Amino acid sequence: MAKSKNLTPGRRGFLKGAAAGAAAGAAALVGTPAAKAQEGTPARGAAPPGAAQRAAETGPPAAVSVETTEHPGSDYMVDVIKSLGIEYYAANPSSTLKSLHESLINHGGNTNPEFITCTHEEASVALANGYFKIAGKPMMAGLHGTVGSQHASMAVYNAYCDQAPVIVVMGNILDAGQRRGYVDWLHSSQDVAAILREYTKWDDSPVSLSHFGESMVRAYKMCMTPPVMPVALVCDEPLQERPIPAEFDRRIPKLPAISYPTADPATLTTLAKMLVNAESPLLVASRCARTPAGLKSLVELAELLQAPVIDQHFRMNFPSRHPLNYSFRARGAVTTADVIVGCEVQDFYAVLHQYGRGRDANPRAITKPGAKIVTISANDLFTKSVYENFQRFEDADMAIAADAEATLPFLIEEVKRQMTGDRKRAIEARGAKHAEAAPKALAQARLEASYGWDSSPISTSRLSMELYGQLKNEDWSLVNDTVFLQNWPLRLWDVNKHYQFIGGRGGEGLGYGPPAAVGAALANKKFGRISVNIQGDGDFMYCPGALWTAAHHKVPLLTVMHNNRAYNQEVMLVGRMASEHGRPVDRCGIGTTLTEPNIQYAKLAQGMGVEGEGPITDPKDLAPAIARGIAAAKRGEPYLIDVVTQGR
Amino acid sequence: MKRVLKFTLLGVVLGAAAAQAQNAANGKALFIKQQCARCHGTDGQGGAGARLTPNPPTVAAMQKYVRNPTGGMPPYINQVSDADIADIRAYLATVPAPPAVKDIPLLNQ
Repeated sequence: MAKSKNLTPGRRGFLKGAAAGAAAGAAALVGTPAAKAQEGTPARGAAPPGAAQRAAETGPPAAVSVETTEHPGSDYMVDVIKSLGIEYYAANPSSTLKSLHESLINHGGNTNPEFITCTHEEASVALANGYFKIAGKPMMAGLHGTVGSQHASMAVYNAYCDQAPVIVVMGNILDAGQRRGYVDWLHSSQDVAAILREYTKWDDSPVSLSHFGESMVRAYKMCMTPPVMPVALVCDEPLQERPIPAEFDRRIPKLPAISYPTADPATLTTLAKMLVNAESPLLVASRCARTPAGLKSLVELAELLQAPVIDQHFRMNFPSRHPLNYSFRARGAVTTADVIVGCEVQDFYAVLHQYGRGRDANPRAITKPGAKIVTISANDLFTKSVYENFQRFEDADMAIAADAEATLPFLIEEVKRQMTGDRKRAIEARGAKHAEAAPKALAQARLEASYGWDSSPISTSRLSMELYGQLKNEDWSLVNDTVFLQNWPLRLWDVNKHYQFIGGRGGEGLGYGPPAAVGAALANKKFGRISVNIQGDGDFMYCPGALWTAAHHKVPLLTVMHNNRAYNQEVMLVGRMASEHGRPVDRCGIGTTLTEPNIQYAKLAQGMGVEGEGPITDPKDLAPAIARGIAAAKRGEPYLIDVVTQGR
Repeated sequence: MKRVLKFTLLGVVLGAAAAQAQNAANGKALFIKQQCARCHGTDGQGGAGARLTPNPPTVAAMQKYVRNPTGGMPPYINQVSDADIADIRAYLATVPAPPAVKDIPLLNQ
């Protein structure tokens, strides 16, 4: 786009001529009939274009006045975004964010942030969700007005429940006088952030550039202050496109160092006393380890007390093969504990109770009578209407409203201070018992894994161990949940680094896996890690386009399909209903299975530029396929292996 | 006479074996059709549901448990007959034991 040399920064100029309309390249077209028609063009086929718009699209370029803006407001927006060190902006291109888009790639040079092209807004947000869990900082996701926000809403909910900060930017046109085509009306709203408000920590709708600057920096600060969560910022389309006012000083607000809330000294003294004097203390963690430091602290506290740890695997909180890891011996640990401390636990009630068979059956506490219950959670500092925020009320003896990771170092120091020689000896004796029990538990898990070892469809234990056999000598990162494959990797692999496991879908909403894995792999890329996603087929089909994003951006990611050709959980659930209703169970594949035809995932991957192979049904074929997949990831490429598996 | 008896006995044994194989084949089909495999694995190796192989429970124990389960399994009141359960048990009895853990290098890493 040629610009008038006479333009001064922040001012508009006018070029006249027929050729200009053709050369304008959309980004700088503002305020002319042709531009109006172009901007009113349906971006997503939500409704048919009007006659005038169709004519503008298909007719010859008219002689028009073309208005150019040398420094649109979106340039300043990009300056603010760059000041925050944000690496990526994931989006499906949108008309309501087109000026920001153009500023990112031209004014911003498409670096820090780099535009990551996604094929669905749900993927954009899920990608950012996965990215955070490796990078430890937020990236942005752009959502196109009303429709893009609706597409993205489930992924925002997942990120909210997963306590994964994402800075969501939503396009909109608030001023009715600025809405030109009918699509402008369809894709704008009086309060476009309303759809996400119940599952974002904060949102704002800036009406000026200075307002945007403050709100963008505030958004970063708020989303990274525990409890860390997504935030939403409405990005007004005219505000993006109008020139930066000459009088605007372009000040970029300062992002402060963020301090995390911790427990007060008196509370720490009391808790340390309880723990030091406990005969069977127990630590439970869901999202305790926000960072590698959290994992280190939890290990230190557990070893200091020789206290078992139940890692609920929403993050990598505790090494899988540590003798104090009781994650898969949880019930026994809970029933014998006299002090139980929950560190950022998602559903503590479910840890401490057993639900009855029927919906109306009273849950039964499984804790020892008189056991003391303590919670440490930043969730106590913030809540909305979403039940996930607070879960069922737990009869805790002490609720500490603080960030667990930030609190642990202070608790450790206080425990050390209160430790006596007698208690140290008792604690060491306790540790010896745990050390003796751990190898037996691992041997039992290995025995269980051996059943069905040669089965076809392939057992999830065989799949997991064939993978680990080749990954264990690499720097690897498992970037999706393992719950649907009986958690074999967490039971049998040596998982000891924070980035080696990142948990799964925060809100258990499907459509998370493929894009979140791409986001995590994107964050792992600079470290040369091999990212592996053992991906369920049902979840995959929500967002398969994420594979194209991986191919397009050359994201090294090995996707291994856990292809049980069903929504297996639902087969079981509908089967349960049929059983309980005394009706045929053999019809429960209706609506729950993914067969007739079987989905060809390797072909699907190939169609999106990702090398793929399978379906593999013989376990003997796994090893060479995995070797090829790892080799591809080492070359910096995505790869997919379709493995036909047992239900679980 | 002895020879005739031998052949008769052989025929009985072979017939019983054939019937057993037929029962097991029917049991395998039922195990898939009635969605048992979704929880217990196609070879009864366990999964979301309990492990049933090798050495499955007796027919009587299976018939009793399936009608009145005490764990997480839903009750199968009338979806499978006692004969069906016997056939399923016959199938499960054919599933061989897996290799010993010590003989699986991938489980010793």
